[in-house]
Amino acid sequence: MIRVGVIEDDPHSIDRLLSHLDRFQREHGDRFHVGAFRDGADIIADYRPDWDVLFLDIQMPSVDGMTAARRIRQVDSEVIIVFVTSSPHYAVSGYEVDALSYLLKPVTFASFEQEMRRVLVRLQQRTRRELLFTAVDGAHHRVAVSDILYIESVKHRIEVHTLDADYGVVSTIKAMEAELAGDGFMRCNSGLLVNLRHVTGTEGNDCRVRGGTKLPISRPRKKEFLSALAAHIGARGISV
Amino acid sequence: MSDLPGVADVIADIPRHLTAIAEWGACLVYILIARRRFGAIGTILLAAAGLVVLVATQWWAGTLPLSLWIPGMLVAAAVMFGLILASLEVNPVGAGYVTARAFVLAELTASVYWQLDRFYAADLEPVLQTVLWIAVYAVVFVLAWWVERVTFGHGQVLRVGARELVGALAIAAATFAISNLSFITANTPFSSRFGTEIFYIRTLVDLAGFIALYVQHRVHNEAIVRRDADAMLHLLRSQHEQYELTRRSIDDVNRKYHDMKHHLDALRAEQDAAARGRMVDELEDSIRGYGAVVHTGNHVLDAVLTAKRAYAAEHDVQVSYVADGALLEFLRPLDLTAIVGNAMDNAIEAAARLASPDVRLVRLALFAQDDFVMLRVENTFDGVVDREGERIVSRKRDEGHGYGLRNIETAATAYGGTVSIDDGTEWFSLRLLFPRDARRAP
Repeated sequence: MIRVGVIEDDPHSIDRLLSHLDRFQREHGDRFHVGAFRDGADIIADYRPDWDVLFLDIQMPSVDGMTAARRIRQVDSEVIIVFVTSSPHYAVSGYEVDALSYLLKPVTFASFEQEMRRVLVRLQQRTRRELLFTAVDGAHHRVAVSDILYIESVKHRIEVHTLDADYGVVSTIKAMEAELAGDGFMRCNSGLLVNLRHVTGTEGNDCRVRGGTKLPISRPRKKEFLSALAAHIGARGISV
Repeated sequence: MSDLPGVADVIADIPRHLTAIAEWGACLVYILIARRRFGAIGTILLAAAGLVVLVATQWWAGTLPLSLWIPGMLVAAAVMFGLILASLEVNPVGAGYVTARAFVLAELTASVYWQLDRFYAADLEPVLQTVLWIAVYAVVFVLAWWVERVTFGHGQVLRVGARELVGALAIAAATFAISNLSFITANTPFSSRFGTEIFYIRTLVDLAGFIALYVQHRVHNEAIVRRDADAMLHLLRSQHEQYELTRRSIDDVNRKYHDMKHHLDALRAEQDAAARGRMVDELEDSIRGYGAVVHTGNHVLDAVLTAKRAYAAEHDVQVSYVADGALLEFLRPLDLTAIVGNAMDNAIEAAARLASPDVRLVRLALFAQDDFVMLRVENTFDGVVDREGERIVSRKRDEGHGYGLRNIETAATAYGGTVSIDDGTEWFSLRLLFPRDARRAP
């Protein structure tokens, strides 16, 4: 059962969203538990992080959606936030609260349906993928795939660089690439496998990963790498 | 057969001063064609100085041992480069490009003359030999000037980049190497029999090199013409759209003016206060849409989106956008119009093909993530994408279309941007990724 919160002051818009949710359930066979709130103040008053997705109106009389989103993010980093607005001008600040997307009023079913599908995909991905391995020193480790920055081939073993630590592992880049297929990893040259979600910039023939490390992109792989990066960021970011 | 000149005589290479004059003359051909830096006097003085330095260089190179022959030629080429860079209004890349051509022309000229000279030398008086020399040089240079004048365009500024320079240098180097390779390898037990043919081969290879450079420049010229034509076409098209938009706005205002007059007449005639209030509400409703102007923080983007929204409305396509226009500040207006205009045109045209107006949707998102700027244009579509190999091509067969995606790619690439396309089942998505501090490549 997926828990959906609708926070919206305009009764017409609430009805519209609720009927879209109903229709989506009927057509796709999903089951939702839906809760409706008339103002941002109502949801943050006694907020518990047990919602899966929130449809948040931006313009509301006492506590607006953006403020509510910021407050919610302080206690719940997981919930998926979709803004519902009649004006696109607020979009710019949506990134800081990690909003999945924007729906523009009046919300058509076609837009809603696509958004809901993205939400469901995101919910499925949220189950933490973990990587288990034995380091060269014999210790066993469990690392969240999303925490891996990049994997480097060093002689006959590999070095797994994560946000917190580095691990030496007896394995090959090729094996890791197969293991992490579908998790948004990409080779930037023959000896480096990079987590695209942590690529923060490019400079000439290098890419920068979180933390500031620069990794060289080899010429034959450059086009494919940048194209995968564009697809990755394009799919992750806010949508309208 | 006893009067046949000795092999050593036949093989004897072109006298140094003749090479120097050929190099100087070749430089002069291009200096006469392209746009000069100085007036007549300055150019003449420079040319005279160039002649002196070139002859001196060749004489000095002549004193070097044979093993230093190639470094000697490189020094001569460097002097030619200096003369051209000083005389013409070019940057070092352009000067290098011209030098490669002048160098091959010089080789060709000297080679042609020497071939003729060696053939007739035995029968000629020294005076006639000089006449032959001047005649051959003059004919070759005038021919080259006549041919190159057309391709270079008289007095025009060179528009060549590093890629053209590398191409020209490669052709010149290959020409020089191959022509002289046969010269050197002929110096074997077989050389006595093929002595004179060596000159012929050298002339032929030099001629082939000259023709290759000529073709390279022609191809380059045509590419420039095509690019300019594309840009111009787009400019005209966007200007036309601007005009259409203005015309539509004027029509709208006129129509609203007439409506408003009727409404006001009706209001005046109405006695009942409640009905009056209702009518005022309706009036307000009817003008609501006119306040919806695009504001993204970037004037050019605002204009493009306004125009495209009007175009979309005609096809019952709904356009929504969330954009921080300031992020595209680094794009030149013409490039921004090319990218967003083409992307929106493609999206609107594809969405308009759907049967039901309810699902004709186009969405534009522009946001920053870390040091990247992402511009994404998505549209609903019927799932049909025409491809030619890897490329996506237009479904419209008429001329002028189908360049949209290519224009977007060209413009984006100039800023170090990357284009990625995703054709799902219902939504087609075009993603452009730019570095946040992007600069246009020169």
